Amino acid sequence: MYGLLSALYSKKNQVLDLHHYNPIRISGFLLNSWKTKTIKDAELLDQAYIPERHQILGNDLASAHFIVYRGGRVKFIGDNFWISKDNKAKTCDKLPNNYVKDYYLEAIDASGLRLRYEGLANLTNLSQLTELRLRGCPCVDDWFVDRISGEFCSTLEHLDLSDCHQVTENALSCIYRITNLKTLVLENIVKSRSFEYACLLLEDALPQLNIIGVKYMDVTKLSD
Amino acid sequence: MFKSDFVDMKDRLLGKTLTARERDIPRFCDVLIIGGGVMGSAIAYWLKWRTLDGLKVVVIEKDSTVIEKNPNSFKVRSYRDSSTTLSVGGLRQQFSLKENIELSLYTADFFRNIKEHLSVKGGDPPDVQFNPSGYLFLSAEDTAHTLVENARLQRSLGAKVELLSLEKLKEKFPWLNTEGLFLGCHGLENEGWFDPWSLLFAFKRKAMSLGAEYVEGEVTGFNFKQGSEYINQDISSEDVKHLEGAQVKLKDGQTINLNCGLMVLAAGPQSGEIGRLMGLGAQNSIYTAPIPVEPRKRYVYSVHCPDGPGFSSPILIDPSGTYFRREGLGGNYLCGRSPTDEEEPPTDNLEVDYDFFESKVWPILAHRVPAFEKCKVKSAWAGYYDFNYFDENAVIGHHPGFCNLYMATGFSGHGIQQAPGVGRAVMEMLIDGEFKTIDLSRLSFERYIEKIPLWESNIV
Repeated sequence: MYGLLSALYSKKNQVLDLHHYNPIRISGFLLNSWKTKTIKDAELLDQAYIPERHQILGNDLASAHFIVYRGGRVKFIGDNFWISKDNKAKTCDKLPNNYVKDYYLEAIDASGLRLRYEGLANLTNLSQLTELRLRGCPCVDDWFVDRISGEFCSTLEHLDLSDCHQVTENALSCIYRITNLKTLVLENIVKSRSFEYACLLLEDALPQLNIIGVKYMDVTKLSD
Repeated sequence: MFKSDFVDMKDRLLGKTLTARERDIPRFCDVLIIGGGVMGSAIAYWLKWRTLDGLKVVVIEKDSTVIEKNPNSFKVRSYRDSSTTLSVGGLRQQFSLKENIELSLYTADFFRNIKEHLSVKGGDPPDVQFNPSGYLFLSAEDTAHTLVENARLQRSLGAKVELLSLEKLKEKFPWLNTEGLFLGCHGLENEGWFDPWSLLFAFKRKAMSLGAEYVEGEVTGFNFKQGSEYINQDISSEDVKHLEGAQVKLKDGQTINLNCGLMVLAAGPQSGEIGRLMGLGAQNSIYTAPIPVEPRKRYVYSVHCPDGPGFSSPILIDPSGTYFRREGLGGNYLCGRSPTDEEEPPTDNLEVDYDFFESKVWPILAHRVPAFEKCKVKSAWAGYYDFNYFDENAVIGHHPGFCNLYMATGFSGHGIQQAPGVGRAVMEMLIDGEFKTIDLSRLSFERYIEKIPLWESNIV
């Protein structure tokens, strides 16, 4: 719809029969990309945001259900134990199945899960979340960290991004948003000098922040 | 549409031997895109993505790339004056128009999945080096209400922004001088900067691998055909012309005629000039309405300031339009400002006016962030904005003078961050005849003819 100017050309004849000119070509590259796309689609479906879940359980419990039933662990404020599901069990008895008042998530441990950016839609409005462990999540990248930094900017104190190999030094430029962040664990992903230097600068800029897992260049060796 | 194929077949049947030169340069195409910057390449990519071999797409670029690939170094000498490669490469959702916000959100989504979109068999996956640092728009008291309205619109469309009062600003950004400010708007997601060259290269590589052809040359004129098959009974056929093709001056000095079915003008700052080549702007009639785009020179200064805000800083936009962002890790910052209409510099060359920094940029910067009082200009460059002097907004759509001319130009500095969405929109316009993903009909050329401007308040 372009209003007046649409008078100048017809719309009907513009849709081309394109399939006629595009025979299917099968190649390893195409098969591979088809395979990855199918896997990704299944994961996206698995991690889709279901509004009913949040309506029935409330934000914190719904997020807990989402994480626990995908193999992660959660901890609530006031509890001193982690809640997780047994591999064999179908349900997790420790998690309430209806809304409980004043029951807030304190920590989420999603280590090793294939948690995707789109799945983060399930982790919203967690007003008391202070700890988030994402150790070894293969799908965590800079965009994921960007989303976390905006979502939990006022509460998060401990963030673990170890072994998330898609995270690069660019992700550090959004950490400043998490104003209360005290520890940031970056084990096994800091591989270049510039990444190390960026960590150093970040610690400089945010005085309360302590970055764990970065082996800085040993200055004493230089003097020898 | 497949005239070129028939000519090829005829030549082969008649036993004509074609020289290598003639085979290289296409003479006919379905869609001719003028301008091989990021916008032209994005349009070419989406067209080829949709149609594969169904359409023959040719892109004309004035200053095309020469990639020297040695084992040790990787040298690129080209796109010298292109606005794409000289841009600062920001991505933000903090606009005041629905279309611009939606386009930027689409771009963020596209960048996130860029490996799926622009990967090429046998090549490294593209990486645009996105730095998610966020934007911080500051406003004084008189313009604060616009900021609030914009934030409301941005939130309703899915962008995440937070409004910060003076106390919050002081608390979050202790290095900021809040004197004269009233409100700040801070982007929490999908905002930051990226590498424009990587994006251009990825688009171009993918478009070429899908079959788009790039011709290096300059458009020197156009061939016209009177009348059109699309004619409507209300308009006499003398009024509407048909672009038959373009005269392209190749690098070796030879001029060829490149005939096309549809033409897309994505020449950025030179769009107005190319419009004049078509004879637009000569008479006062809607059929020769000029394309309201002209180049405007903008300076970018790279300053060194070891005590600057560093990692604790988003891209900051002062109420005066002065901006700065961190560049690299060595305490360097990029900054700049759009000059006012009176102090608009001449656009015949890309020389940098260092006095502009001393007199206009630095005082504001040092006032806003006191750490910048001790800063030193390391280098500077200038680039062109494809400035739409009518309403500083993009022109996407059909031109009434020619029934086969489409435009995607006049982005006034935010073209590079909207290229993926605009490319897709132009593809939908050409093939489906309407916008499917993002409705950009308000950005059409109609508003220039009707003289109803559509202002964007957040131009930097």
